[in-house]
Order: sequence, then C-alpha cells, then structure tokens
Amino acid sequence: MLNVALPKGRLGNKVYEMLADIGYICDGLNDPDTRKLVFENKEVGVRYALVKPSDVAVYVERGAADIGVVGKDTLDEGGYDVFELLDLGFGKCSVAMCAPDGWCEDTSSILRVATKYPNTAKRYYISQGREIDIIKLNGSIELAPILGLSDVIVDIVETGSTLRENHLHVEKIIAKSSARLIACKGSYRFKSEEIDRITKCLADRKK
Amino acid sequence: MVSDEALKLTLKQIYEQHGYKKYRMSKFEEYSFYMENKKFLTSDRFITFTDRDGRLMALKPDITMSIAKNTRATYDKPERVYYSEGIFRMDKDGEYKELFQIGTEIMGRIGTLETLETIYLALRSLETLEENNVLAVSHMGYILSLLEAVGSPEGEVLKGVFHCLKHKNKHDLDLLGEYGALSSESIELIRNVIDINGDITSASQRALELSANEGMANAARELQEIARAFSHTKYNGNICIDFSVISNTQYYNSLIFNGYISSVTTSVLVGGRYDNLLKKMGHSSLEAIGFAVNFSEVDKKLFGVETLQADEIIAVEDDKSDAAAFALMRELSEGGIRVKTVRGTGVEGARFIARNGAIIGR
Repeated sequence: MLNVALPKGRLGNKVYEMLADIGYICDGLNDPDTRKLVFENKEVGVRYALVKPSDVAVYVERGAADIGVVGKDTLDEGGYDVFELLDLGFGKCSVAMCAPDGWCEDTSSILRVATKYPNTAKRYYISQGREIDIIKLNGSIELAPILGLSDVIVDIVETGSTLRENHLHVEKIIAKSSARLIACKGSYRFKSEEIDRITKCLADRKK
Repeated sequence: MVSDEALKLTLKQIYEQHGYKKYRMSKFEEYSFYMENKKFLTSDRFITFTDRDGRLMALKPDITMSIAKNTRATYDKPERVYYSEGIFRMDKDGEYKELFQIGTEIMGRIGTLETLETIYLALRSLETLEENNVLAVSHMGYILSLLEAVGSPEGEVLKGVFHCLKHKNKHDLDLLGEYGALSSESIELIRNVIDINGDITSASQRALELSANEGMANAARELQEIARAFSHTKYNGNICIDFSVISNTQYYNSLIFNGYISSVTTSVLVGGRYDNLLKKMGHSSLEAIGFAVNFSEVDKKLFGVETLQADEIIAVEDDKSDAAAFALMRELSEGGIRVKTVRGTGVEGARFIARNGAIIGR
C-alpha cells in the first residue's frame, strides 16, 4: 500500500489528477462535498490522506505518508529530512521581501520583519549582514507594515495583486518556489521501485 | 512482540560470539574534550555540570570518541569492543534527550576482512530487529573525489551540491548551473551519481563506470569487493548503494552506511570508517570501523506496549486474603508457572479467587 499525503485545495486536486492518470485512482476523492480525510483503493494499493498543505512534509518525514507534494518554500523553511524527487513545475511563486510603497530603509536601526517564514528570513538577512527583529505571524502578513507592526515583510508572492492592493511592492526576491514531490527516506528503502516509477511518470508528463 | 531487553541481549550475544569484549564507561567526560573535537559531533550543545573538583563535565553525546581516546589497540593487535550505553543529545526541536545505543568498534588495522565483518554484524543486527531490513551503503571517499572531479566547489555551491546529493534533488542542480557555478558536464555527473540506486552488485559497477578520477574508482572498487563477498549470501538483497547517505561531520572518511527496518521510518543503525577520529586522538597509525544501533529510534512501532503474559491470574478480593494469595503465587511461580495477582472482583481471566482468607478455584 502506497500512502500519499495530498495537500488540501487546488494543489492537491491537481496532484490527484496526475496520479489518477497514471493509475492511482480513488473513488470519492474529487467529491467537493466530502468531509472524509482518508481515501483508499485496495485494488490499486493506494491510500490518500488530505492534509493541511503546510503539514504534508511532517507526515512524509515521519513516515505517516510515503510520498507527498509540498511547496519548496515550506521545505526550505522547515528543513525537512526527506527526498525531494521532482519539481512538478506548477504552483510557482516566490518568497520575497516586500515593503510599503515609498519605503526607504533606515540602516541605522534594527529592521522589523514580519513573516510566516522566520528561518528563511533569518538566513537571508544573515547573508546580508543585517540585524533584524523577526515577528512571526500566521497569516495576512501584508497587514503588519500597514498597522506599523513591522517595517517590511517576507512572504509568498504569486501575481502580486494582494501586495498592490495594499500599497506594498516587492523589494527583493529571496527564493523561487514550486510544488515538489517528496518521499520519506525510510519508506523509499522499501518502496523505491514504485516511488521511482511514479517519479518518472510524473516527470514525463511535465515534458 | 519481542521486548527490547530480549533484543539487546541477542545483539550482545552476537557480538560476544565474534570475540567482541564489552566496553564499560562512565556517563561523563570533560567538557573541553568535546569542544576540542566538536567537528566530529553534530552539535556543540551538551548537558554540563561542575564536579566537586571544579571541573566542567559533560554528559556524553558520543561513545566512540571516548573509546577512541582510550584505546590500547596497535596496528597489528586490533581491539574489538562493543558497548551498550546511553548518550545525551539535543534533538531537532532543541530538547535534550537520552538515546540508547548498542554498537561495535574495531580499532587497529582495518582491511577487507574487518570491513566485511562489520557489515556482516550490521546486517545481523538489523535482522535481529526485523526481517524486512535494508543496509544503505555509501562512501565518503567517492563523494569527496566526485567534488574534486567537478572542480572542488566551495561555500554556497559546495553546500548546494551536498544538499542535492543528500536529498536526491536533481532539479536544483540546474540552479547551480544557471549561476555558472558548475559546468553542464559536472551537473550531469552529479545527477548520474544521484541516480545510482539498487542492489550493490549492479550499483557498484555503475559507480565504477561513472568514476571521473582515481579516487572515485578506488572507492567504487571497495564497494565492488563488498558486493562480491555478499552476493551469494542471504543478505545480498538487503544491501543497496545510495550516495544520499552522507556524513554531516568529519567523522566518517570512507565507507559509511545507514540501516533501516520497515516498521521505523528513520535509520536505526549508523556506521562506517572513521580513521580521521583516531588520528585526531593521537593514534595516527590506527584505523577504525564500527556502527551503532539506535534503540531510541526503534520505539513503540517495534516493541509495542508490553503486556505481561501470565498463565494464571489470582484475583484478590479483600485485604485479609493477601497471605493466601501470596502463598498460592509462590507455589505457582516456583512450579514454573507465570502468575499475576490483581486486586478486585470480577477480574477477567482469573481462575483463582482469594476471598475471606481462602482460595477459591484450586
């Protein structure tokens, strides 16, 4: 039985379609009204679990799932000890340092940075030799500089429309992100043939 | 479910059968010892205390270093020891934990024989824990020579290459190429090394074919020697080659391996050649190889919740029946019967009931 951690939402739906295309079908998974979290197809030998996107890597790292799909931004932030087998090529976005329009950096003071990615932000500013005060938030990060909680933010940017509507802009792109296929290192030792086959099939579909 | 005590005893018996002597040691060393050798450790954070002589001591984060420091082995008279000890390390979340390890060390001359013996004992150790197991073998000499072959990258590029190898991440290698840090040929070579996977015979042959310098070729031939020795044994299917197995420290300088069992998702066994450590301890003529089984990783998934298996249960319904219950318990126990006493009424499975000072149900 192959255990797959699918992120809830658009990304997970897309990943399921790709896996279903290569034979890993599970009835009911695509039902928008379902409240079920685990779906199993014994004939095919697959079990899907619908997981909060930011938790997929935890399930895979600890072996509760053999494979999963998660954003590169989440992987870099958490430093998860997993195999990162494939860049799926979708879910593209950037981790960026963003500031209010008209902002000018005051290098004489400590920079206050609000973010959902404290480790990523810390690593970036260490590389810049800049002293910062990290303010960890869980959502609506764009609010922070508007309400004076922070000077800048480090957050995910896709189209940039949310930033523009809140009079923020990208100052610097720190890293690129996209959806990645990951595998549990322990599971891979015993299911490498199947996991490699899935990786190859998904890679071929990208082309 | 087998108890962890039974498994530990079986492992000790295996090592003793092969001539390994038990190495007993204290739980602490001087803090300065670990600070001088911190490049061999995964963390420089230890639990410390001051002893009555005012020395700053540390609870041991590593066993092998202490054995290496005190070894009386010579090149021609190697020492074979095993240990069964707890160590104290900080985990990923920054919490200190006691971890229990059982392992073996050979210090002295390490030839093909000693290498095969160590791998054999590692495989037997895994087999003792669970039949469904894999030993993933790698070679730091192959990896370091690969780095030379691709231009000896440094700094962020070196970190990037290690990251890609460790996580089987071929796609981010392209980023290193985009920055001009590595040539396309170098990227292709690293990608091919990442792809090396599978049974040790075909994988070691592939590693040799990909060798871009003598260092890689020598390491690949060492792996082929291991493949030949195990190819006709029952363990042939339990060994694979995987260059994602990499040491984070300068501990291992050549052969390195991780062991896995199917019921636990992290590696339960780590080992390899660690000549560098011996040299640092002042034993420049000595070589060393060993491994440790991390029992703390082999947790409830393997052992489960221990349930006492009793042949007979004595239900003790009141305090005045304690003496009678005790007498019966002794009689049954000395007769070789496993017996359990439980206080209460209506005890499920109890054939004997101690009530009003007497036993009902004999």
